[in-house]
Amino acid sequence: MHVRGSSLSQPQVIEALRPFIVSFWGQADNEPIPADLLPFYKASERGTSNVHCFVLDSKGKFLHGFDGLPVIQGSPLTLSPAQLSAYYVREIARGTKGMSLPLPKGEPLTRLPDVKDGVRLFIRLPGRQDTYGYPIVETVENRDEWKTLAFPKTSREIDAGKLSRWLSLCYPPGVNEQLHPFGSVKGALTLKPTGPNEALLSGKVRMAKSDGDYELFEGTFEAVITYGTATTFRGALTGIYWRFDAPRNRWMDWDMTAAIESRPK
Amino acid sequence: MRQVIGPLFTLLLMGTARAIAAPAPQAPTQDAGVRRALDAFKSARPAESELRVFQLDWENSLTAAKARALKEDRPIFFVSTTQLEDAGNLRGGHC
Repeated sequence: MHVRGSSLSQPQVIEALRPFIVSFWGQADNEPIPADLLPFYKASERGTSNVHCFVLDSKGKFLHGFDGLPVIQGSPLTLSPAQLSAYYVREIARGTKGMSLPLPKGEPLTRLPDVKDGVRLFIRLPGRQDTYGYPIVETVENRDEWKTLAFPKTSREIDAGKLSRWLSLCYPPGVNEQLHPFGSVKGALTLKPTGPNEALLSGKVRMAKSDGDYELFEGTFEAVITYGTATTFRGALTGIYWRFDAPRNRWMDWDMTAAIESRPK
Repeated sequence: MRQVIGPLFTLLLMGTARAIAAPAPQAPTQDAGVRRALDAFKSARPAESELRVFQLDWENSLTAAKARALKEDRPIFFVSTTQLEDAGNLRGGHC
């Protein structure tokens, strides 16, 4: 279960968290829990999952802690997103009992991650209706991608690997076998002029965790680029991500898409 | 009479020629590949309603969250995950 999709994206939880500043920490490679978080773990009830939530006051003082994916009847999957949302709202209220919370002003605003000059990617599994279906948003500052995609006077071929800083990020959330971007991005893309200030980029892309590994993604990349005072890019990667279903000893085909848009325009 | 018809005929011919040379302006035809790519982009980009998690007021570290909480007199909601190979990003979604 994916905590971001199952609880933090649910309207009731978002409403309950409007007075809050929300933050997170994730352990990597069994590193020790940071010293400033340890007291929160010690003060919390012992949970069974690997996700812990802490409610702190404005001075950072611990008020309440709870298990982020409570195990019911032996499995965290027993709770639906609606039930999990109700549980989060209840636990947040427990943590703030007696406090006068600041009243949120106006309608909530959507603040997407952004960059000064680069691209924003929206990666998702459109076929998944469960908590894995929630979109991922990544941003990448431009390094030499605009140079790679400079206006073509005539049609030219571009190695997909030249755009690997974008494409390698196109992998799904919550897949324990792949917690890092792709290490191998292959494919031949064609960049052809379609107007005096416009070009079309298209071709097949294949990706794997490393050059020696079997491929986990194959798809089509299509994008329209316009050239002016700034380069604008609107593109989509559409294809299949393969995940091995160990209990059933079979490969699953997941539809995966990524929309890629230039920023700031 | 013939002298009058001649120039008139020439004028008529010139008008026809001008009409052929300058057709009424039309919107430029969009390349089919361009149209397909833009449709694919529109279809792949999530709607605002699918991006609600970005309505939360995120900070990327406890230190940054504490600094703002103190300044704005607001509580903090902190999520911590363990047992992972990679730290992940709960805000962006790769976690």
